[in-house]
Amino acid sequence: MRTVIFHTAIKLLMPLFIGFSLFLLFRGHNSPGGGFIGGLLASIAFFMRAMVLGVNNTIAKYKLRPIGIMAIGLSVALISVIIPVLAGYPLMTGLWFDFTLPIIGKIGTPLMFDTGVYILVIGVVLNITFILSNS
Amino acid sequence: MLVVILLGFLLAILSIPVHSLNSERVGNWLSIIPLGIFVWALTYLDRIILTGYVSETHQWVNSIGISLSFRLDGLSLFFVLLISGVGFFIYNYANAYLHHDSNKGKFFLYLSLFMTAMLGVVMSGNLIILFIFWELTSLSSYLLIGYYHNDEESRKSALMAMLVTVAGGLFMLAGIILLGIAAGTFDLNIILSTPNILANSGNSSLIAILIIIGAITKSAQFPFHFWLPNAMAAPAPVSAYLHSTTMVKAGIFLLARLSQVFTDGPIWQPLLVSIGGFTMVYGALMALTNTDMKKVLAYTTISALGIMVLLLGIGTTVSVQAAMVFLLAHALYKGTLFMVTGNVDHETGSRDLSLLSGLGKKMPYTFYASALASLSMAGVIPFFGFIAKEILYGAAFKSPLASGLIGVATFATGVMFTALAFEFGYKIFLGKQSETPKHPHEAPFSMLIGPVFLATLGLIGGVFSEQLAQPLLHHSSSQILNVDKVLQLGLWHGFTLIFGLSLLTLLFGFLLFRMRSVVVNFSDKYSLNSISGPEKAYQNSIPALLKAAKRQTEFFQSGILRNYIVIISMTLVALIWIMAFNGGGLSMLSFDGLTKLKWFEIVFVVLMLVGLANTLLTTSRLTAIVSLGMIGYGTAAIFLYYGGPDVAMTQFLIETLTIVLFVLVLNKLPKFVDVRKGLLIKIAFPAVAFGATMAIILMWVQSLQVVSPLKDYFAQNSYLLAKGKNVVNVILVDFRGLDTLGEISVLAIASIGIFTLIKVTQSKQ
Repeated sequence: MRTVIFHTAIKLLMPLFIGFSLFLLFRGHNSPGGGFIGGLLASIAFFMRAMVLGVNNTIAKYKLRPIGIMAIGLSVALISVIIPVLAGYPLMTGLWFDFTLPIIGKIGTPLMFDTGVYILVIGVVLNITFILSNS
Repeated sequence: MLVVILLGFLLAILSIPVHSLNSERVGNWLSIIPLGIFVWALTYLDRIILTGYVSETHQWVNSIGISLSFRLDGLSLFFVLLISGVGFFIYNYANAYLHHDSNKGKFFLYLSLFMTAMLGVVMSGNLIILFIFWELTSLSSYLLIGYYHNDEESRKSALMAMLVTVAGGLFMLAGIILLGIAAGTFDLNIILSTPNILANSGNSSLIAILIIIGAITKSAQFPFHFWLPNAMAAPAPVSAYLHSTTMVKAGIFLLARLSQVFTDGPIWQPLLVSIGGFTMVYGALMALTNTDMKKVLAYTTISALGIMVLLLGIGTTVSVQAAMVFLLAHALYKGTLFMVTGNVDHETGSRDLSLLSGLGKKMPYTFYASALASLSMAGVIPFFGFIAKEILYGAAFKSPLASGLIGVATFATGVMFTALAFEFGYKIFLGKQSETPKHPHEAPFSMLIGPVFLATLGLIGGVFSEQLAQPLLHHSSSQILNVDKVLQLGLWHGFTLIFGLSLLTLLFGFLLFRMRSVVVNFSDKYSLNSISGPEKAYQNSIPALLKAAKRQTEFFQSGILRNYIVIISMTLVALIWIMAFNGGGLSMLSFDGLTKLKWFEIVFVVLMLVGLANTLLTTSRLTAIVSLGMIGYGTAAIFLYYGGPDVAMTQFLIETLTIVLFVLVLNKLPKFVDVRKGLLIKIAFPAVAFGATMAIILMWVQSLQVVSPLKDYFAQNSYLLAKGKNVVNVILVDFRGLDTLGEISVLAIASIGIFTLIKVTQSKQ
């Protein structure tokens, strides 16, 4: 798979993949998409890069090991669950800001939770695929 | 009272930091808190004498009637004073005993945890809370008995103590739940203030038996006594604290606490009298046949606990009063003797009664403590033990049940106790000094203050029993049953029959002491003190349990993925068909609700069938994987058509990922098995059965018009409440967000599991 074309293409395509996966994440609340799907897509993109350019190269480039990504994802999701408690509501109450951003849409704790899922899924998939391809 | 419990936990947390600050004096510093608790409890004495009990309630799990409530009455106050008072000396004692031990901080962590749990048990105002603290005592005692964890015996003994007491705790939990259901509450204040609360319950005897099992496993009664002698593997301060003065008395406490509820039932008194009576004699006999000081003390403790169980079982005013008086006397002299044993062991390197003698000159203070405690144990006037023995005999001979038999048994036990007391108070300290592994010298100050103080208290308490012990003991026994007479303690009641018996006890005890070597030789010859039946049963059951666990693990978890899938899917199929036949599900099957096939469905199904045929017929794994992917994509396409874009997208991505994962590990997998050869029946049958069952379930769902308000609720409220138009996503991140949180945690754990498995395999190669 380490052809020059693929090598160059994957470098160019990475931002596109990641951008599209983020787009899926943000639109998830109103249209098909969401953290799980976005995370799967992004992880496949990262994995393809790792196949072409090497696992260690990919880890070095993004400076994060998959277990670290998992930890971040789980923490983001957990924090989003706890925020409402600090604000005096029951656990996991959805809290939203009033304004709407372009592309992203409304910002709120459910979106943060979904972002946590997104990050975690990337971590989980990469953790498994990296270890398998290294072994 | 919650503050005291929290203070105890704080003490546990502080143990290790304090140890690293001042490892020399950590126990002395920490002992301030038990002393404080002792003083705190004393301030309640007047209020409790006046009002009966003080209670405190904090809301906890209201929905199932569990509140964090505490109750301090005469009975619990007595125990709190015992736990914190003896605790104070134990902290100081342990500090010197474990002088050079680098794990001392941990020891105090466990000890503080234990003390707090024990305080929790006796102050609980709610049965469930009591149970939680009860289990915590088992757990912390496991850690304490296993403190020398490099020693295999120590670990085994710790496990034995925990398994026995925790198993008993489970019976007790069942009893508590049944009691809670029968009484309508777990609140002890209500249960204890309502007379005949179980009068209308059909299973009051069952509840009584379950509670008794819990109590007698904890209090080491026959046939669950064997863990206690083994628990002597613990350091001496642990034996002195847990296994003589506090933890083993938790069972006694429980029996005392709930006596009011059960004592009128048909089973409570006979069961307790027979268990306690038998254990009393058996324990004393076993003590006679042993020569290891700690073993002897352990068996006399078992015997003494038997006496208390017996007294609670007799259930008269004088007997419950005797139980409390004896409990105090026993705590004072037995705690002392355990610490004395610790001193002797620590300073001479031996604790064999048949070898040691003449240590008195080298260890004068230890001798002083041991002599006083032994005199109390023997029941010599004017020690507190004398008072306890008098009231004990009085209660035994006036028992409404089998008074003759109980009286004689109690007398025999008293004689044996006296004989053993001579060993501790006389033989090992007087006479010609024996050779010992270490050169004997006196123990340091903090190992002396505890035994000397407690032993002296046994003397002062005897002389001034009316002023010091009477009010507290009266109020603790009046919490057990409605006593009809005020407890009167005193040394002199005239030349009664009981006094005569006391003198006879001393005489016979001395004679038995002189004959001790004969008894020991006799028991050695017939190996009477070898492992007893119940212990053997325990030792045989543990390997049997492990074997059974191994068998079932090997059966269900063979390591062959194929078999896992067969087991899981066949279990599901079986359960579904059992349900179907029971509910008459087959007759509800109808084809009416099905829509007509459309052309594209036919196309996809044909594609999937081709994929399926290819998967089954190919001899190459790669082809099989790709063909399976074809089926997956076909399914995703159908999802897409029927308006499930989220599910379809996920399916597409997962199919892709699965293929990628397979390709990664392709050349590491074992040889591809051709399903056409031999495995057809084994694999084809489960596969077809599972597939057919799933299809039929789908048709049931079609034909049964299940009315679910959820679907409408989600559809209507998705945007209004959760501000999202994609219902699937709103369910995932909002309505059922907690499920998702659980799922992603499982994902993370599974992923770490895979990581570890592969890393471990790699590092092994």
